[in-house]
Amino acid sequence: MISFKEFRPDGNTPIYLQIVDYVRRGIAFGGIPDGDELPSRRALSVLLGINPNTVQRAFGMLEEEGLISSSHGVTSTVTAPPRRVEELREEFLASDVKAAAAMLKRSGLSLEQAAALLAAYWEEAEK
Amino acid sequence: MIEIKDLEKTYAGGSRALDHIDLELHPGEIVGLFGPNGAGKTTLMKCIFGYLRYNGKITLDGDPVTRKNIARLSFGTCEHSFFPGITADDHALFYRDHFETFDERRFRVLMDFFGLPTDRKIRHMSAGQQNQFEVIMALCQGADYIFLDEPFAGNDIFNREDFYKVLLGMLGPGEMLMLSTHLIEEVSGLISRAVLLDKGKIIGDRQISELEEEGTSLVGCIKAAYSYRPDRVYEALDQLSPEGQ
Amino acid sequence: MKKISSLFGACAAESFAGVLCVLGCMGIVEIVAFVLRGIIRDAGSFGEAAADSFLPFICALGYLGMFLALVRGSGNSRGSRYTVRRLRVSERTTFLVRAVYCILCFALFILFQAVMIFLLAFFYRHGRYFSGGAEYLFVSLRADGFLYSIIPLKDIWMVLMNAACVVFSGTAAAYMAVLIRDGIGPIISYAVPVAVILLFLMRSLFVPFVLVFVLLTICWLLCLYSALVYSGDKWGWDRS
Repeated sequence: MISFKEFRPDGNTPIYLQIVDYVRRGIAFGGIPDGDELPSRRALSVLLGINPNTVQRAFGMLEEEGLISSSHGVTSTVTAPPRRVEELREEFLASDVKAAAAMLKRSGLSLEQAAALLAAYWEEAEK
Repeated sequence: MIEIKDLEKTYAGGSRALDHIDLELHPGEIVGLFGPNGAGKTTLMKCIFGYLRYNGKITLDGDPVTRKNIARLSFGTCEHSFFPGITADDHALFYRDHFETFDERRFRVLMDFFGLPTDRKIRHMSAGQQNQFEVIMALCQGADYIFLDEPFAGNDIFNREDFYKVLLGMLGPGEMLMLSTHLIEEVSGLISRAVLLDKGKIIGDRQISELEEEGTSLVGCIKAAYSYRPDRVYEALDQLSPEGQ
Repeated sequence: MKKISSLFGACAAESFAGVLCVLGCMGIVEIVAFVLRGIIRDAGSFGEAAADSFLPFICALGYLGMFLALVRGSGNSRGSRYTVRRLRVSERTTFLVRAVYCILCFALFILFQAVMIFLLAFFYRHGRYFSGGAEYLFVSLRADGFLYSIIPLKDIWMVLMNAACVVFSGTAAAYMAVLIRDGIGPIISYAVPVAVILLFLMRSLFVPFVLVFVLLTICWLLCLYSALVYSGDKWGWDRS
């Protein structure tokens, strides 16, 4: 069963998008393995204190992307073969790194300086 | 479905509390009713129940709201609709006699959840406990349409957060809940629809899913609807500061 | 039937403590006054008149106390009207249930007084304090006392008057409770017991007595009409 303990909603983006993002990241970076079960819509709505319609939207979006499949309309399981996981990871890496690169460029660093900075903090960084 | 058509309510002194309201309430919705004090939120709820005389038409599944079908509506009011001189257990007995749909199991679970004593007279409970009891009775009557007027007054945040979760787990697909509250941010995740009242008129009626599509937060939508001016604060402070005088 | 009995129960549970309190206090005060009365009378003729009028006043105060206890209790909390109006039981039936309860309370009041008098009479049976004789089942301490004469079975008018008093007081208390519950305002609602006390005080002045009595009767009939006929099944007593 996927745990949503680490889920922290922020007030900026719609909650359903945040849930979708949480699940996608979990799949991409290994926290959520293929075949894992999601809590039922009702259970998740109670757990997070949000309206079941919002949960439904999130699940619907994930289903559309083919990341989850619902059996008997009650429980949903993750469908993420290794290729799909790889795709997702590349997607996230691309967008995250792009954002970091843009930020570093905006602060006026050159590529070499940015690379040196990256190397310096590589060891310290948490996994 | 509750259908409200052209509802208008003017009090004896001439003040217009509700100004041509049109509204539909469907089962399965959790509706947040927002508005400043005096906007007409309580008046709207009282009119639906027929506690006040009004002009216009209010129907429940096509029929007017009369003693025959009013048991399908329940009301948790900030004025407290319980009998203060008897205990919670007595209330359960009373409700069981008068409402066939009274859910005793839900009652026991909620009383237990909030830690309320069942054998003490309600008037001897604290104000916060009385508010909780009022909400519990409204939820356990077995009504299809539940109206709660400022139900969270006097409850600390832990009780409130737990309460939202209990509500979500407990409400069935056939039940509609309308709650009026000032705690906009807290309930924004809970509700599926927001109705905004101002000076007796509905100035906004949005599905939360619509707002999400647009990328607007509920608070942002409300601020826009009420033409909230953040500069007001600075203007007032300017006038109060030594330089401003 | 179940619904009506549970309404009755709710009504009773709310005010019965007040009613018992009033009866208890009255009983204690009457015993003390009676004992003192005996002492005062024995001390000389000075206190006789004072002592004689003492007890009826206690009774009148007790009566007022009952009225207040019933009006304040018996399910009249302002918010409970929201619940009462959602019941399948009509306003008319709710009023009748409350009226029956109040009437029973006043009947209890009369009964209590009868028992008190009987007890006090028994204890002082060898004294000179009574104006009644053996032909009365219950002796009356004051032959002309309005509320204080207990039921001599020989006189049917006294029985009827007491019964009328009980019914009037009960329905009035119930109606007043409803008015307060619906926010009409305590000042108007408490005017009735004040009027009753005035009536009691004026009982030896025939014309004013009759006038006030007639006025009260008219008011009472209007209240009954309002409770039973006019707003019986409608959403009643809405001051807006």
